[in-house]
Amino acid sequence: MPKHLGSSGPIHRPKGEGRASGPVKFRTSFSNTIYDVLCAKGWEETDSEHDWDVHWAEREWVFEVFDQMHLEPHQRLNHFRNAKEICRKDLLIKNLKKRKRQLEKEGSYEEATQYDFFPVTFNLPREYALFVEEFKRQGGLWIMKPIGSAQGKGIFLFSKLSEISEWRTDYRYRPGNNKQEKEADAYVVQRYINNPYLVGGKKFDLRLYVVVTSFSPLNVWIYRTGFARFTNTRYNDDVSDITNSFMHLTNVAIQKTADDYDKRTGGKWDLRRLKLHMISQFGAETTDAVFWEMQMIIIRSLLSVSSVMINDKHCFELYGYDIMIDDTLKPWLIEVNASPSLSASTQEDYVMKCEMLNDVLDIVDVEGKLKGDEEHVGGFDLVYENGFVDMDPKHRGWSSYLGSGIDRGPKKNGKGRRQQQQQAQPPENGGGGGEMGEKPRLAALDQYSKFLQTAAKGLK
Amino acid sequence: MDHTTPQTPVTPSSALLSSLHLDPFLHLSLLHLKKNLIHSPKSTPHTVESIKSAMLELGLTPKIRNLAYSLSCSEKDRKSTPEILQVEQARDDWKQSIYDELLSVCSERGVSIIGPDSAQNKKIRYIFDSEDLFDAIKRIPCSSNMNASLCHNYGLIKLRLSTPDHSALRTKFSELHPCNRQYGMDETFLGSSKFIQHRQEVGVKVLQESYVPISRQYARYGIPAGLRPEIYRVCLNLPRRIGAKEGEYYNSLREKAKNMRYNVVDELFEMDSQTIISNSMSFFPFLENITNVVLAFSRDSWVVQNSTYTAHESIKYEMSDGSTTSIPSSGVQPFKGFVNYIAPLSLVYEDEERIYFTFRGMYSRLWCKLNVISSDSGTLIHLCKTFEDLLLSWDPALFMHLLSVNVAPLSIAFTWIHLAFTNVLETEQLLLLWDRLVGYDDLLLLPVLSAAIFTFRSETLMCTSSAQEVKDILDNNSGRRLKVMPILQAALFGECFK
Repeated sequence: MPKHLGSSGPIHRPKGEGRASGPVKFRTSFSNTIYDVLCAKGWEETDSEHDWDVHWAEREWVFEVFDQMHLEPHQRLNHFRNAKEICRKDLLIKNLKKRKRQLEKEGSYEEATQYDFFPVTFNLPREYALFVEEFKRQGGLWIMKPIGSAQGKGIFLFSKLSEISEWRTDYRYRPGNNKQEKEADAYVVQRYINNPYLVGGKKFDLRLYVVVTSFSPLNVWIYRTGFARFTNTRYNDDVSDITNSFMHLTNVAIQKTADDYDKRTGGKWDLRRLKLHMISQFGAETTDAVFWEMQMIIIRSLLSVSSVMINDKHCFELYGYDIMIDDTLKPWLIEVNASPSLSASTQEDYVMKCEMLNDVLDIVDVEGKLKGDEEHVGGFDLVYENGFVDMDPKHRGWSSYLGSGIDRGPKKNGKGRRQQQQQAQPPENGGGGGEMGEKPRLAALDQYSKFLQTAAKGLK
Repeated sequence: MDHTTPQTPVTPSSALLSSLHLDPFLHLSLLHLKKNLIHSPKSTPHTVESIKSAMLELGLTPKIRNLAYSLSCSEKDRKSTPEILQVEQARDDWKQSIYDELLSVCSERGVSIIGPDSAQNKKIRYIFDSEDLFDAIKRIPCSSNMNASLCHNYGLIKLRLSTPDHSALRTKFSELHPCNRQYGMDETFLGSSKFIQHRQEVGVKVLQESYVPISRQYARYGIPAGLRPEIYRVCLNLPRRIGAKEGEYYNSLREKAKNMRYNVVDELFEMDSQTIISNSMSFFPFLENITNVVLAFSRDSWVVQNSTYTAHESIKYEMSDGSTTSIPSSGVQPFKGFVNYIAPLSLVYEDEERIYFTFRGMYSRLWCKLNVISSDSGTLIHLCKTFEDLLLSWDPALFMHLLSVNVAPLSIAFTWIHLAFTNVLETEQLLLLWDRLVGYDDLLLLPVLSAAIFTFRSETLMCTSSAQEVKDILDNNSGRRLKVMPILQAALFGECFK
């Protein structure tokens, strides 16, 4: 991959300059994990329109207000102006197809053929005729997705053209009160992946987290872990079963209404668990290739929109990538979310999201704590910085950090009940605490701590 | 019970031949061999070589070799010491109590053990769990013909059983010494790619041989995840790849489970599966697979015929046609936590059949010893005593301190041993431990690891002043971060690696 034209080297962003001294001021209308994380950093909440350092905003705010605002150099906002270029299903497809054509025009045919990670898609109603032509040629199972939808609402499957001619008139699919009324009719229709890779006979999709701090030049941080979201029922590719939305649509929001949804597990595996499972089924090499493909999907999709995105040094964005793997182990891009869900369905989920969001804020670095040449921040790795970033030699043998363990060192507050009980009397040997407090007995046990750190990065 | 070197079979050839006849595949192959090579009208005097090569071609050689090896091992397995009276009594009582409990649950619900179940939605309770087994063992008194004062020891196991000492363990588990590169340690260090590659190549060769003792020796150093499915099978004397016959057999078991339901017993297995598997972060996608496996297991009379020990008693039920059937056919009654033995295999094998046969093999060789009340070495009581003796010798101060805060160390370690650490370690580590259990064909590492964990946490434990604090430090959640191999190596070979 050729490096982009433009500046090379690490991005120097104004670190803390212009920011008033004192605790960081944040503004947000969210009340879930991100709010907890912002507070936990010791930052102060503010309602002020202008006097904030970090604003974790809803996208509506960005659409409505941002254009009229002037931001100080130190202020940071969690959305780019036109993230719709990557998040709206029709625009994403348009941009991906455009990039593919551009590469072909440039003569980079091999790279252009790699842009085959999105299922055949058409924007409706504009490309209806093209869709019908493809449908008549190949048939199969298709999925209809309203452009503005989230959490699986309004999505349905079909295999006969007659089913969609009824669709517009059917009251079930009338879109709800949506600010974008004039786009409410617009859908994308996409060939459905009817041969998913199954685990335990169950279908799942993957949610990966990506932070972009700049589009031009392109800077991409990818979180090492993520989720595999399972359906609760066994997968059955019998076309007549497609009305069983629960089986096919894995969005957590829909799963939660299924009768046998289990609150405790939330039907998710973390990415590392999936990777280990795949290694034992398919071997390390094959698994590595799959995870590498997923990373390349992320990079290529961002490259496709980087030229149309309005770059702004105040902006950063956290994307939730939805990816599905088919039974040939090919990953497919389903969609990109600029407002990935930050609510947690279980305790583990809560911890994972808080850790991730905390890392995002560390990358944004309003306090100027980073040197600027870091390639790892918390669980995020800098994968693309105006060009691919080399893998850390410790991870030799693996093409991507995705799915490897995150090393956070000893837990500072993992002492639990025992600590509380001991608060009345100080421990006898002055601080013999938690799991990492034991003095190693042997030189070999020094290896143990090192082992914990390296082993946390995954099977080697 | 050292099986590191293959022994020449000591059994008479007639025993070998009769065993061969029991295996239908071998039987048919030998008949074929006889007919076509030896007795064919066109045959010429055959040299040993041509028969040998014909056998190799038919795939007989590995099978016969493994059969001979397992026969030679089973000779050694045979009990050489008579049973202690108290233990025998306790075993009978235990079996009886389970039996009675099962029947009483049936009558509470107003159903018979087989037949239509009218009490569909009534809440059901487990008939026993680890704690009950622990109580049954604790109750066993010291032999009555010994002087009472000699019986006094600090542990909960009063029986005077001889347990291996530290140097015996170091010899037995010499493969685990830090000077040997192995999985669980070396694959994680910088520059390990050569080791990983080497291990992979050796493993492939080992699988080509498909000879039980070689596979077991290989397993002792830990198995790469990609090879584990087949190596486990060979170590358990199964062909490395599953065959059509095994698939059919498994399906017949599933049919039996569908056609004739065991009231209460099936429900308990299902409840166990539902409770443990659905709540497990790692195993929840495999809930149906695991439930199917456990129900099929309960229909398999192979288990009771081939397990080293029979843990429980089946209920003999007279059918309408006069025949009697055992319920469950496997001779293994449901208890809380049983599915823990199955769950980790769902991450090793993709499909139910392979999970099933490996699980069945592991149960019949290993897990049955954890569920039987016996004084034989290598079984539960002996393992518990080994734990107590080891901890006492490694860290007497800690042992005494724990007693002083009213915690018997065995009361914490018991479930670790009974459930083979399934409720403690995270799966990757658990499988590395199981690699060694399968490789040594022995459960001795369970008490060794238990004692090693206590000594690893010794300094923190010495600071405790109440039983609750001890339990918090050693609770199962804290085990999720433990790495098995460093702890074992430190405990066994520590102090500058004697």
